[in-house]
Amino acid sequence: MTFNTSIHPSTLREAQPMFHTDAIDRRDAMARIALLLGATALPAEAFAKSLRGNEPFLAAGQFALLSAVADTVMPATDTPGALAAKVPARLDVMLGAWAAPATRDAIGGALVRIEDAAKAKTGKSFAKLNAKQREAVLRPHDAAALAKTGKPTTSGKFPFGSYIPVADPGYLRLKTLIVDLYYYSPEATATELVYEHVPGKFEPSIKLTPKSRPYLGVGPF
Amino acid sequence: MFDAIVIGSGMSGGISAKELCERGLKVLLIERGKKVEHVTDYNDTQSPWDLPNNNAVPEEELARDYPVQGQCYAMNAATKQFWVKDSEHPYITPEERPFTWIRGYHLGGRSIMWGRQSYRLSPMDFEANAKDGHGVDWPIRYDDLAPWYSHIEKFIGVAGTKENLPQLPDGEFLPGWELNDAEKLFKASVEQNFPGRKVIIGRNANLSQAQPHHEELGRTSCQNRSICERGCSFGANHSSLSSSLPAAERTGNLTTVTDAIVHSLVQDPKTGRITSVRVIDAKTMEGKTYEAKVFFLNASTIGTAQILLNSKSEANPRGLCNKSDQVGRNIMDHMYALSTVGIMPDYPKDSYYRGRRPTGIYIPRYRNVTEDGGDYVRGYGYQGAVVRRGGMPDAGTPGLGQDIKNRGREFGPWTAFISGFGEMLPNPENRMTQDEVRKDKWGIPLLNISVGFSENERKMAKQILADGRAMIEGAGGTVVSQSTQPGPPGLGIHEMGTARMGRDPMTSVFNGFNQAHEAPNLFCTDGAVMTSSGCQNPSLTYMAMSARAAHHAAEWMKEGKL
Repeated sequence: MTFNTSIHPSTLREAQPMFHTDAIDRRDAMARIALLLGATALPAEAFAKSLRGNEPFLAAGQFALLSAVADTVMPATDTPGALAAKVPARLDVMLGAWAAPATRDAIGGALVRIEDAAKAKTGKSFAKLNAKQREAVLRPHDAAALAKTGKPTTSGKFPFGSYIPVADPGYLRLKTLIVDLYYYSPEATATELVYEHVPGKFEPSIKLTPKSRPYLGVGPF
Repeated sequence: MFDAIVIGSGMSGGISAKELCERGLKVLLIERGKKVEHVTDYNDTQSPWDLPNNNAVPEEELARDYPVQGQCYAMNAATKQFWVKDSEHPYITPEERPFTWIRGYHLGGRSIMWGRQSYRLSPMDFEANAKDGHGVDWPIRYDDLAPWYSHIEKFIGVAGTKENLPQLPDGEFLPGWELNDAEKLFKASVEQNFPGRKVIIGRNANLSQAQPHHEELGRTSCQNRSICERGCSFGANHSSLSSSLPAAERTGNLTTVTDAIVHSLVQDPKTGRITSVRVIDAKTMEGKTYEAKVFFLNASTIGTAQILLNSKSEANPRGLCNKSDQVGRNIMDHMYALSTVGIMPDYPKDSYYRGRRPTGIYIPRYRNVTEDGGDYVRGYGYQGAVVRRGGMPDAGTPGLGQDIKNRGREFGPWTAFISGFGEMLPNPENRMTQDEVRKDKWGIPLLNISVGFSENERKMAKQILADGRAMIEGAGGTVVSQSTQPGPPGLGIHEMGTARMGRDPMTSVFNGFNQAHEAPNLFCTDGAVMTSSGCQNPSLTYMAMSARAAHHAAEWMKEGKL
């Protein structure tokens, strides 16, 4: 299964600039309204239109699927979720501006396999399911896709992370992007991990309290 | 006519220009790359979500334009402008002896993205070749350079702690950064389990406390952001743009040209003196010639040797200053990426830290110092850190929604990682030559660069990994991953040795004053002149040699000797 079968061919075009200043205010406003309404109350396709501006990479149906998957991986709980952090729209931009064809294929293939799982289990498109049904489809899919299939290898690149092969590498890439984009957002850093762009001081020893939250890393340390 | 021409504006060229300007010389600084401006050309004010593509370079662009540069840890969307496009600046390297050439062609060169670790070589490093017979003897000893190390440390600002170790001399330090609680425990166990080994805070060229002479140049104290490689708008780390070039400019003696690729140097065959430098405008391809009384080569290890090789003439068919046939030979790097990562289950669960410290821990060399090296000569040090796991949850662990958020909020165990930096021996077969056919778009022959590790390095690499494991396990840790071999030569970005210093003109290119044996008014103070490599990060040594050579060149000019 290649990505070309899962997205509209007309969407395969040159990358657009990351930000259109006039468009971003509108998108922000729409996103805020969406948040006020409660993320799950708004159909996924409305998000497609509200968050991406004028030049989306994915076709509407695929974007709705991506949005539904992102919302299921990182839903709003006591803290905002992937939709509030504009993960689908930011990932859509990355598919257009960052991903090589092989990556688009891998991520697109992962989305198609989720869609296939939804149809096999419920007879419906993943994006048409309610939150509970989506979780019931994605949870076993996630566990199977991330089953380890080999031994860890260490990267030669600083800071030398180690990587373990899994059953569905495309799904791992998709989920990693959703999780990364979620945490690297003002919404997540206001409520989950802490990010200080200019810490000022280095304090080498801090006592943890029940209220302490870990810092979001940037750079090697 | 200028008094002095400095070729290259990076780590060493910035200091050469500053020191010559401060001695009253009119200096022309020639940079092959584009002009970039301190602060305005940095991407350091952006939060992660303000950077395109979550700070990743588009995959196809990375593969097409940056296949070599993309291997460097510091290459990302925020720093992309500071790395050469490999597609525009090709070189040739054999598959079985590959050299990873990491470069930045712009004003300030790699001084913008450098790792800032700043260590002195020690007396035993300058004596090593004479003692074990590898390479040729250094024409200088530690005492020749010691005052110049002090001079540079004060100027650039090096944070560190005094440790009184013969293999890693102390310097003029700003207050060192502190170890976190886990690193203090790691230090205690390594020092107890392995008497003679030390775990110290990495000595780094970041201003822990800016001094008045730093503030005069617009530099302020470090804000613990640890995004130094993007360029620092606080001027808190030393770079040519934040520090040495502003100091040179305020003398009124500096002229800078950018987009000016040095083609070759011209030597007067009668006197041996260099008379001029031939330059190609990178954009217009126009040729120009600049004249001066004295010339400093600071084009980087490979770049400097390339200029010498390309300065062929009837009198010098093998290239300028190359009667010894040592130009382009003896390429050394430090063995790199020999890393061991371990989880430290017993380290304090209620302790954390705040801020992103711009340095890690350092374990100075101990092999063939306080401990036997077994079947190899020389030694290695380690850089690393002990950090608290937590923060970004791993997407590879099954789970959705609240599972992921819960894991993100957890403070995981402390993780120790230490990575060896091993000394390479000078080997004349590790060399660069000019290709006989292929040329770059400015008509300069492409370089063939061929470098491999020797038996000594292979034995040392094994010991680096074994020791790394033993230190982490000895501290109660469980090793979770370890590399199996060093990264390719070059990836340590400590390349050096292509035009070594020495006493004998028949076996070396520059003398103990960094002056060419065959051209009295030509000096070189970048990594090319390194006679051996030590295992310490070398930039501080290049800068100290730059200041020392500039001092002597200026004195000799005053005395009419040059």
